[in-house]
Amino acid sequence: MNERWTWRQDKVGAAHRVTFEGDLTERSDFTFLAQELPEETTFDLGAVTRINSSGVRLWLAFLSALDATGKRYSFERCSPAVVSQMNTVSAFSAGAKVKSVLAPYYCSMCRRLHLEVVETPPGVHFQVKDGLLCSVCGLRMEFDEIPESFLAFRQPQSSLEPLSRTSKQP
Amino acid sequence: MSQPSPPEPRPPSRFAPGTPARFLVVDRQETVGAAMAAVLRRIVPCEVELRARLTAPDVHRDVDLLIVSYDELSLVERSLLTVYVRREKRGQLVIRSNGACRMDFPLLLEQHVLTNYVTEVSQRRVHEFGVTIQKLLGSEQSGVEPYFPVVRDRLSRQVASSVEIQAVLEEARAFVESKEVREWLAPRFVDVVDELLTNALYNAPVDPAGKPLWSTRARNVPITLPEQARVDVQLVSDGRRLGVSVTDPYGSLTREALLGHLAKRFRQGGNTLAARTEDGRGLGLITCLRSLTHLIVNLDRGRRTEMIGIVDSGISIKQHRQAGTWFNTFQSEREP
Repeated sequence: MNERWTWRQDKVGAAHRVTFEGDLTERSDFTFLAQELPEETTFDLGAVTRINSSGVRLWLAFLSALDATGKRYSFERCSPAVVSQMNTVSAFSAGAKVKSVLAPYYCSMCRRLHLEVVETPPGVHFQVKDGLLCSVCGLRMEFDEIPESFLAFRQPQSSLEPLSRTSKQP
Repeated sequence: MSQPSPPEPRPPSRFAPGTPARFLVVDRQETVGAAMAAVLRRIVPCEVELRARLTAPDVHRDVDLLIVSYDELSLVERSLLTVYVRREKRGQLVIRSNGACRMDFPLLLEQHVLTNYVTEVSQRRVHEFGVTIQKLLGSEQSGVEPYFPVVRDRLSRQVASSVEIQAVLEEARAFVESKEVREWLAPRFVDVVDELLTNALYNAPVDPAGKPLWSTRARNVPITLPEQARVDVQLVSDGRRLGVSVTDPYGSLTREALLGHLAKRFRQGGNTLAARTEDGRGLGLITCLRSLTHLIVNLDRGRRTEMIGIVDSGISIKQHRQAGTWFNTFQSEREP
């Protein structure tokens, strides 16, 4: 039992949404969730704080279970931890529509990190949103990543060998 | 007719202490090479030669350490590095790069050319570079503290079972958060402690015949180290950097396995590192490389393996990415 990993299911009209929160690790037992989900689900990943290598394998197994039954899913508000794994593990988001990510902005006056929701429509090149102002001091914040590599998972990966979702534990 | 196999890489020769170290620095940019030479002269008594190009006679010379700025080397020069590592009685090799030639990394790792990698040696990193050079010249410095001349806070734990991992991670999280570091850093540092500790508990232990005990066991199945064995975990802070070292008492990791794992997991695709998990290994290592500013592996075959991670706690995510991650492997010369 991982008290740091939780999820909540919400249904608004026909839209089904699962909001995950916490640390995705070997203690995150949620693979049975795939059976409960309808034909199409949005995963809100904004509150996923940490993902270790065991958690990646559980996530891939979860997505494989969805794929096996033809269920569709999309990702929204992908946290920095999720974006990092999507950039590192080619199958972490394969098959999913990634609709938005949380982009890090930093206020050097307040020394505070702000996460801004950025839409990521397919085929549209990522542009840094300039001119964001800190909600505390009002000064301009700086995008705190390298724009060219921030969403590297969206770049063509013809020479990559995709991670197998059927890889066994561990 | 099949081609003969290329000669195996050779271990470097031992530097003779008490004599000035002999360095050869190869860098197209004269000012950068001169700056490197100046840094080296501050670290140890040495003779430094500067070259703009690497030539065949250079790789056969007796030097204690060859430092090359890799990105500007020609294809011929790059191939000479393979000749260098296959020489009998050769010196150490440090590759300096800004990552522009990442597509070469798999081959360089497989050929044992890329065993020590640095990016820019900024003023902030001179001390770490100095310890690196001293260790390459044979100084048997273990632990994370040589890299921290000033320690403001430390935390030490001995771990015997995987059921203790969560408690150690909570302590690591509290340790980091008490240091007023950048917000992005705390979860990333906990990631590193998690991966290194899990690796030490599950992948490192072997039986007397050298067979892995638990490397294929699911990580949610608890294990307890046998016979009073313990994994040592150290966390340190000097106010601007955080350090972690995780030491297992088995020493089952070889340089060949380490470099081979890394080579398999480095692929070209823009700036992406793609990882494979067919054997469950390596993804943790990639996480460490992405989260740290310096990863050091001290290998003592049959005795212990020490993984050390250092991260600059005062920089932004962007600065962290731009600085790049240093990587060093040190092999003990004691008999296994």
